Amino acid sequence: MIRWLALRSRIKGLIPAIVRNLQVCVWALLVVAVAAILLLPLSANKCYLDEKALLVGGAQPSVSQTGCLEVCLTVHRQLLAAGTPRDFVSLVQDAAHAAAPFTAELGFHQHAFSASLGSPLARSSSSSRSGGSSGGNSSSSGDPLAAGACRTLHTVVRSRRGEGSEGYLLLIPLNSSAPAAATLAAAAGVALAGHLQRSSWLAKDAVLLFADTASCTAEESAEAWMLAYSSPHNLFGFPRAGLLQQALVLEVAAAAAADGASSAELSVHGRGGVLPNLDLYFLVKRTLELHTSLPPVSLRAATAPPPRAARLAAAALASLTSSPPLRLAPAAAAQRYVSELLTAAAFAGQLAAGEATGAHAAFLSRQVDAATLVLRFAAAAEPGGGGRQAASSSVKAKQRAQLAASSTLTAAELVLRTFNNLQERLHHSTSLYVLVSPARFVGVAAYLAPPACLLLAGVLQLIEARRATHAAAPGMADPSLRAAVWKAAWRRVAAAHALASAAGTVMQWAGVSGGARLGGAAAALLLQQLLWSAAAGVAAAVGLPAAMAALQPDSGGDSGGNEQSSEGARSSSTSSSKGSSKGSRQDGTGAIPVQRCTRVFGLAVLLLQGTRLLLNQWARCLALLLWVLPLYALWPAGTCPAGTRGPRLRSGLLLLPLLAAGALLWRVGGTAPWLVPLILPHLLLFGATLLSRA
Amino acid sequence: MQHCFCWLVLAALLSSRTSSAAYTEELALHALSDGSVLAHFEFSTAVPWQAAHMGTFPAVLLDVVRRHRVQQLELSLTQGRWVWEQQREVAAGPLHAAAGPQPPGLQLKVSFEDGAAQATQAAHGALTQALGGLLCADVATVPRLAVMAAPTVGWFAQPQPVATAAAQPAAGAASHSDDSGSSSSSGTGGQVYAWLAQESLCTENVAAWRRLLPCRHHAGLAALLHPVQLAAAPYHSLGLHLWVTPAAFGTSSSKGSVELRQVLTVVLPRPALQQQVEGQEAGLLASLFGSGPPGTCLAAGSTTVYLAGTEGGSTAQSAEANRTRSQAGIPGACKRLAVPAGTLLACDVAPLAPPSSKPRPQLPLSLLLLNSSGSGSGCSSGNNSCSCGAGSSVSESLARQRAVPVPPRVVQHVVQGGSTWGTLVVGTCVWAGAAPAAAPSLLHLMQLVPWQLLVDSSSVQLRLNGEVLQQHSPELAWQRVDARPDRTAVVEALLRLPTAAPAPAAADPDAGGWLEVQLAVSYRTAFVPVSDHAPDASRGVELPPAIATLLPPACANPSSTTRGSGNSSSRGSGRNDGSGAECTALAAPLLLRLQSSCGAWQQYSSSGGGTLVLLPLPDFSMTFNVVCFTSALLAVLLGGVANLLLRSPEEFADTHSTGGLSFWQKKKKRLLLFLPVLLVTLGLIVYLDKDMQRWVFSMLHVVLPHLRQGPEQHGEL
Repeated sequence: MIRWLALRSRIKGLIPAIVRNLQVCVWALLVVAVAAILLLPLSANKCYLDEKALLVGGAQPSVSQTGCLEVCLTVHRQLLAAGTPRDFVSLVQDAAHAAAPFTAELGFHQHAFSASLGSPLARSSSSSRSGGSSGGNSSSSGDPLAAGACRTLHTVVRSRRGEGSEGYLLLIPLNSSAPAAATLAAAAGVALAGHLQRSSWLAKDAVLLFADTASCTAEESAEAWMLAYSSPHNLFGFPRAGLLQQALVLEVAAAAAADGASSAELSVHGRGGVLPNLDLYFLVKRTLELHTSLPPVSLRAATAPPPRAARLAAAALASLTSSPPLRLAPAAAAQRYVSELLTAAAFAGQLAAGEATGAHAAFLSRQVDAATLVLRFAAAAEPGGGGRQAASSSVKAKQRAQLAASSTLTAAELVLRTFNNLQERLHHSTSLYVLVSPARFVGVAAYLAPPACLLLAGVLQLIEARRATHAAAPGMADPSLRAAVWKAAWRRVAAAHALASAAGTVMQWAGVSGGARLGGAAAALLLQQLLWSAAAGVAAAVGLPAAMAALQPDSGGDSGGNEQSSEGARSSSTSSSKGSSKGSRQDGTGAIPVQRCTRVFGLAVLLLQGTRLLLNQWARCLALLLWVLPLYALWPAGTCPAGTRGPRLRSGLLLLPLLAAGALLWRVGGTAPWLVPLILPHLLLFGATLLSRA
Repeated sequence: MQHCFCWLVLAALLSSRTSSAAYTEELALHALSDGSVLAHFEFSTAVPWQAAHMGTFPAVLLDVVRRHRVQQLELSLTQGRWVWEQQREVAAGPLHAAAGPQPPGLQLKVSFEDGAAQATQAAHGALTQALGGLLCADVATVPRLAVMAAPTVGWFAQPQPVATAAAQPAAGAASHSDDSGSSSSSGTGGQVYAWLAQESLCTENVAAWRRLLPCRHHAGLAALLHPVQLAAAPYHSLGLHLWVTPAAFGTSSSKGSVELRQVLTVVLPRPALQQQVEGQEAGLLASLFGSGPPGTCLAAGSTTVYLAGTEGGSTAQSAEANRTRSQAGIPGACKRLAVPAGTLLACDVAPLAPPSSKPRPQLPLSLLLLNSSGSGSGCSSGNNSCSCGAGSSVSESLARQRAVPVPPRVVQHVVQGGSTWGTLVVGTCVWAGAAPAAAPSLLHLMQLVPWQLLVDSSSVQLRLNGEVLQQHSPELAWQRVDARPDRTAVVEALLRLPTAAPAPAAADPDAGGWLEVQLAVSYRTAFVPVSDHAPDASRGVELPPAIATLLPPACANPSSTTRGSGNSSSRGSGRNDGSGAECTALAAPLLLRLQSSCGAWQQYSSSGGGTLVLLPLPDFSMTFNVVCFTSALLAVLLGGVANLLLRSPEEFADTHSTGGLSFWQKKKKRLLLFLPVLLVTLGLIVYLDKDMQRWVFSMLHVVLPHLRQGPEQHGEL
């Protein structure tokens, strides 16, 4: 008890010391935040499977036992021997023909669509069926497609004992301009479909989707196919598999290395910073490591490699930490740390940019956990390129084809089998992570520490700024002056929000509609949002009492223009209240003033509408509040009277990292227009603050 | 003495067998084109309502029926999926009316004599408890977990055909259709439909089901059923069908008898069959079920196996079948019977002679294979050319199929617009060629929506071949939407299908025979508290399959049957074939159904399976945090309020004054101040927490018995 009392008194004594040295604490927190960002790789954990029901490693590949591997190799040989270049549809059909005894009664449905250039969305889609005839053949009976149209072919392998309410998907992009890789992928896909037909473990329906990537990207094809899948049209002609729970995009490509070594690469980024569950990523990686002879799976952290300056800085940091003056760590450890830091930066940058790294983004945006696996083999290289040496030696070519087919089929079979084991969606692990290497990740608890430090620094800076303001301007002790300052501040905030809300609304609708003509309901909603923004802007410009008084025809003009001081505000409210009371007296006793009802009703509508808009985005607002609250905390310093430049300068310095974060978010806003109303006001306010200081 | 006693028992058994002709055993076998075999078992019995001796009827079941005034009951426990293509194949043969697919999980349809809602609710709760004990199934959780509703019509096929029940409300039809979506469940007549997807069919259910048979698994056709084989089958379903028939004119009681039919349908997989084909010496039953012909159940009046027969004996295959039959040495065991859809063989596998007098007959496996090759539909499972709206070429096999009935195809699709709203679309494809041109067919569509999804009743839209049906469209006879919060929503519609299907000019001329009916309804997700989520919350909500009942005009006769449900009346009259072959099993219900079918169908969407709908994903790990945050917030608020009230400056000053109130008076004053705050807080808690409301009302109900019933559980009627 005595010890507790002593500790309590010591803590009580510590608080005034902190309050006295707030500025020091702010800088210390800033340093800690920057250091925490730099030290993020040290807090990374090894990836692990949180969902035990996946049973990764619990089943052995059976593609060899069922003859699937042999069929794949046979089909591959036959397609290569034919030699003639094929288009997308004939390639899949020929593969199905060649695998006919194995893939019995495999019917493909063809979906054709056209994608506008530069847009990820398919603008129109039409569907035609290439009905599967018995014997595993597929034939195109639809109309000839227009040149340049994109196509997909898909089939559904029904489980014998499943209920058909859910399924998973395997997407295989085929590029007919790279026939070697496309041939291998088509052969593997058709053989895998036959293998799934024979599998007794199939508890869910499996969708096998081939996408033509010669005219469109795989992501466009996946997007258009998902649009058709989720549409209420063509209920009987378009084969479906219930609710799609997981998806895997399997790309087969030529080996990138000069020696033709095989490799595997995983990418997980979706659009708008969406990530799949970490279990999905690791189950694919773990399956490849356990059951294939491929080298360790690499991670595609970003679409673009890191800039040269970053790489140079990283190299310098590595040499600095391992060089004699510091010698903080061995050279290997330093190199690993720097590599992980670069990977984490690239991964986070890709997240912030909101750009996808593969076709799986189309599924992720529809709540389907998905990832893209790229397998590179020498057997998939074109004969004129890296595969020339392989072609010269038939034995080596067979071995390489065997390796490629075996790895592809094994990976696909076992990943799909783990999907098959799930009764629920993946939910044990998290979707909030930053991969610092293919095998290590930083969880959300770790990477939230730097923003938390920044947030705390902002709050402390607010306290310090207010204290300095009060010390420098004794007039602020006057309640009327303080009220006037805060009212003016509120108006600026409201005006900035109104402007940003209007801009964001326009951008959002422009992005959604893609320039097309808006429907009636959409236009009404757009108009409603714009009106609300305008109303908030008017209220901010002339003040709320004046705006309300303006609703009254007889007293609308006598309350504007006197909002610069507290006395003005008071007189405004007084005059409006007088006007309203006068109006009510004019209406006669007992009668409810219509204007007042209108005013109250209008205000209620405004508040309700604003609340609805906010509540619709409450989760995003909450997340962003962590970033923008420091800006708010600093902002009142700009309203200080003259003579308080010291705290404002320090505030300006503090702004730098926060503005960088804002710029990053602004970049995200380019792909997610809903961020604009949340980011733009703060940038406007800071710009105004800095300009007024100058 | 002991020897005499055995003879007495044997004589009693024989006499009971001859007298209790109500109990029959039947098995229908149909070989599918993919090599698998559909086997449908039916065990039928009946007992007078006021009988003192139950005979072969399960006594406990009769007691339950009498106690709870059950009028009709259908229960099915199903595992797996019987795909539409297989059903279409069976439909093309003479055994088309034998069985239909059932939805996976548990399905319970009950009709009570007392139609009052509260009585129905209570009787249903008690009945589910009893059925759960009878079948070792989790039927008792139906009132709490199942998707349960009281639809108007459409799901009891017999003995009240859907048309007769539906035509009456259809008269007032469009005027009764509910625009507000808040219609009550009045007029349901004590009917309850429940579907529980999570309940799977296990071995113990089969064992309990067999215990209801008079011979259990020791003899009769039930001895063929091996739990392991059933568990490995891609589809198997067991069920209880029970109904009370009215008494004959002039009797004192209004109830005549209680009829019970125990059914089991299984699709035996292809590999097991092929292994047995290699041994040609093996008999049919041994090849299919792995054991020899079963011992005769002495309680059974007849034990019959039905096989699809060849047409008229004119083809080479028929001759081959006859030759095979004669070679098998079972002359007279099988009789050829003519049914509306063709010819079938009825083989009595339990002759009346005592079992020990001569060897039991053996049916050769080739009988099934030859007959199947002759009666197959020619529509392979992978051939979807019969699909509606595909706009593709129709094969020759389909052209041949136009002479045979084609079951309607129902699909269900959820278009999820976001995490909180979406649209449910039910498509039904009806082969219009099956309907005579004289009168329209009736199509009844029913879709239940669990309480977690709030149905927008104004969004219900019906389309016929792409054209929207308005309220007063002649094709729309009747429509009902029961969308109440916290209750399973019911969307029902009755349509009169046009006699001639309009063929689009651009489409394939052969595709014009299909009618496509589409039902669309929008929903938004309700707020589901943590305590109301299923244990596997991340799976989503199971949406029950849509039920489509197609009734051609020929089924206006009340004695007609609906095939898909596997249920029928035994009141229909048997019919001999034209060849004059004697039918020895005229009293067999399955045979009667095969002979008197009118072409009606009851079909579930996606061959029985429902659909999953995602809910906003709850994060149960946040519960602890929410509790902590909420408790901390409440502590701060309550502490502040209490401090404000109890430690106000005046009171604080009063404590230091010399002439203030006494200690206990001050305590009392504080308590009086704090009491309103406490009451307001408790009221808020009870208002926000539904579980707390139920608990409070149950406590109050104990104290005040006349208190009105408190908040009900989710999903009640």
